[in-house]
Amino acid sequence: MLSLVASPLALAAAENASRRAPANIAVWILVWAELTEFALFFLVLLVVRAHNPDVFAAGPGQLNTLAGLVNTLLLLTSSFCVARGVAAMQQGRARRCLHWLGGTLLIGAAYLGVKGWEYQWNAAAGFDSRTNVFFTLYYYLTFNHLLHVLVGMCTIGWAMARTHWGHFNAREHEGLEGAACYWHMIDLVWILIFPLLYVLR
Amino acid sequence: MLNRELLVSVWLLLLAVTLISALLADVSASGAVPVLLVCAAAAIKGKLVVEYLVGLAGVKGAIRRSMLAYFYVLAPLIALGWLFPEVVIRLTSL
Repeated sequence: MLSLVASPLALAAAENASRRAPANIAVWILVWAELTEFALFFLVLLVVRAHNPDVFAAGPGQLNTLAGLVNTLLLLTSSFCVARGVAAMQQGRARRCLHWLGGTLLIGAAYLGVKGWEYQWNAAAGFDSRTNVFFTLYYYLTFNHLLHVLVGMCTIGWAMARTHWGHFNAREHEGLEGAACYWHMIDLVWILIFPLLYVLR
Repeated sequence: MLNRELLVSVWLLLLAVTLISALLADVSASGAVPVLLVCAAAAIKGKLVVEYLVGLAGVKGAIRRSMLAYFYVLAPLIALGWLFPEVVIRLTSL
């Protein structure tokens, strides 16, 4: 597995050495603002957990770990789809790009479906945002993240429309890169939410 | 240029690391080693996404450094906060 990955990774780093960062500085400021917001809530979670160890020791075991795991796999796969879409546009293949972005939207919809099922599962088990401070933070973080997924889906949808209208080509596709960066930000945040809420005991 | 082989390899690696993390949650209730492993897995996943799916691998400048720093700082901070809650309490009590 490692040898399968190591050589393409080294090759990519060498190829990118003279390349500019994707999108533009305004997109990166937005991405950083969003990441900072979530980082502050991660720190709040650490503080609240330290003051409420019993509630946080029991919390992850009361959640639907399968739903968290499936949504993690879905988001990672959606990031892969977005990256494939950008790669297709870099080769001037607009139709292929549209297919990959469409896949991203479908996976985003699947994420929303799994999240809805998870919230219903919680309700059936008698848990809501007022159960205890663990569930308050769980609902705040996950619902806030869900709203970002919705915004990301709108952004990808707009990038699809512009791709369909021929606004992007192999040389000029900064708007597509911006939408892709926003979507990757959503995935990056979930990479930390998953262990904090579902895995660490 | 993001090539197909690279993206597929990174995607598979991300899925594998995620499944290992979830397995850790099932087999071990608590302790320093699982916490360190789970936080290391999150940092590795963050690096893989930032470098290869976002496409910042090898790109020079503050954008790549700051994105990587997000995981290199937060993941160890989460591990420390998880393992030493008494320090967090001391720092946040009036």
